[in-house]
Amino acid sequence: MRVRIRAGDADAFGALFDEHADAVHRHAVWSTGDPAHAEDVVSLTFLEAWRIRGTLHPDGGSLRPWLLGIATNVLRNRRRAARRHSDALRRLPPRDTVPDFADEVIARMHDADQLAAAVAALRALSRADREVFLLCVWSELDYASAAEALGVPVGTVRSRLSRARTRLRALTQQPDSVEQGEHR
Amino acid sequence: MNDPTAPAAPPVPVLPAVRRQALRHHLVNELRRPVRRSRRTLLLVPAGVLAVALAAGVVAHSLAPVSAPLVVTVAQGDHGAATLLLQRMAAAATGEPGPSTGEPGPSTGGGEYLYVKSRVAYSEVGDGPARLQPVHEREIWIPLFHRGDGQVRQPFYDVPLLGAIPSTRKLPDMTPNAQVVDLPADPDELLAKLYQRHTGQGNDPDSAVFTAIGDILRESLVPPQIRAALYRAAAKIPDVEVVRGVTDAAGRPGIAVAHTDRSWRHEWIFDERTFDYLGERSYLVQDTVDGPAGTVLGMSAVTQRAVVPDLGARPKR
Repeated sequence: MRVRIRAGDADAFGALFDEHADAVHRHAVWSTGDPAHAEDVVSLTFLEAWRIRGTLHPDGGSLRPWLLGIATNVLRNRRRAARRHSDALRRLPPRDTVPDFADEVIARMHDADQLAAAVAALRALSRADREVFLLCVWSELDYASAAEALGVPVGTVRSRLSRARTRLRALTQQPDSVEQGEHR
Repeated sequence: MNDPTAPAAPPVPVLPAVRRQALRHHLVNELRRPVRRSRRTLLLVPAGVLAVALAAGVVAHSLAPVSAPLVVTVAQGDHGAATLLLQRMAAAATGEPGPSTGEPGPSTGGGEYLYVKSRVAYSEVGDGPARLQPVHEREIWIPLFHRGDGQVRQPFYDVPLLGAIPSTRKLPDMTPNAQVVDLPADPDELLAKLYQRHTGQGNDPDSAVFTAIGDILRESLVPPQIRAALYRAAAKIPDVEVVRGVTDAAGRPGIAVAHTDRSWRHEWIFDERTFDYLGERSYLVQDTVDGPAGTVLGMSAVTQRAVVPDLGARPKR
């Protein structure tokens, strides 16, 4: 797979999308709290992956850490990524041309409050700590994969995660200090 | 890695399957962009040649579904008639229980799943004129009362196959029908609730609410009172109009309740005599980058709605 991706095989990218688009989408929703923007992040992540495919190491396991790392970079500077792929984004199909089936629509409304509360809690963390928390805890990467995704040493992942957990624990024990109030 | 003191990952609604497919299609198109240029000019040649060319394209690009633009006549909408039609539909829904609405009554005979069979086709947009998929069958199983797994069976055109073979996919954690149709029976209350839910999502609120009602009508079992309330609420959306002489994806003639959002018109199609829900259609009413006025973006025809005992079971008929 890595060899085909590096070689610029569009079918292999289609398969990569099938396997990981949902994980990238979830990660983007958790980071932004906004499902509409998250779709752009999904497209930008795969377009960026295509652009930098030559830098992918030919050996290795799952490509999820690589993609979530690219997604993290896109999320850090979405405007730059959007500028780079502005032509492609202009051709992105508008959201309304296909119907949302009712079950999906209602589920979306149902989950929105829970999402907003959780995202608000994470805003209390620094960006670096939040990225590690999202990758390790919610996206369930192991330390080594998160380190690969972020391009930092494993030790850094450990210390950031530990700091994130301490901070979140402190916040949940002292609800007054949570600025957004709502979260338990 | 579980930590009881850290907030648990909040649920994220999955990308709707059709939207996911559209994003994937867009991605693969973008990656192939330079080689696709010459194919786009083929769309200008006559239909017969086009069919051959597209068939050849399928051999060359096994991912590309056999799709072609479909252009229909854009009929003049009748705004004045919409309120009257929707009121008559509402009266028919509550006045004559049973066959006239074409819907099974509230008694579900102990079944656990709603089964809806339809013929549908959606377009792929974003690379020249919108190309409509071949009309294909869609079957869905939705839990009636309890949140849980449902499933859908349809061809998934994102899979490289020769011809479209239907496959079944699980739909995890579905909202049960009972919750979808748990709505106020008072049209004003219903409308207020829908506007509240759908305002501020970046879309025009009127078309968002029209779309929301269409979403509820499409694949569900709606009690007559709520059905009537949905029609009466729709009558109050500004710029709702009637379009006559339309056909659904199965070729059945009907009358449409329509709403236009910028260049797109969305129609719910009903049988003109019985007011049975037949299907939907949406198309461009102006020339845009996605095609000339009349280019169809999606259409459907519901052919069967029934309650079945098990996931995957089909009604006896």
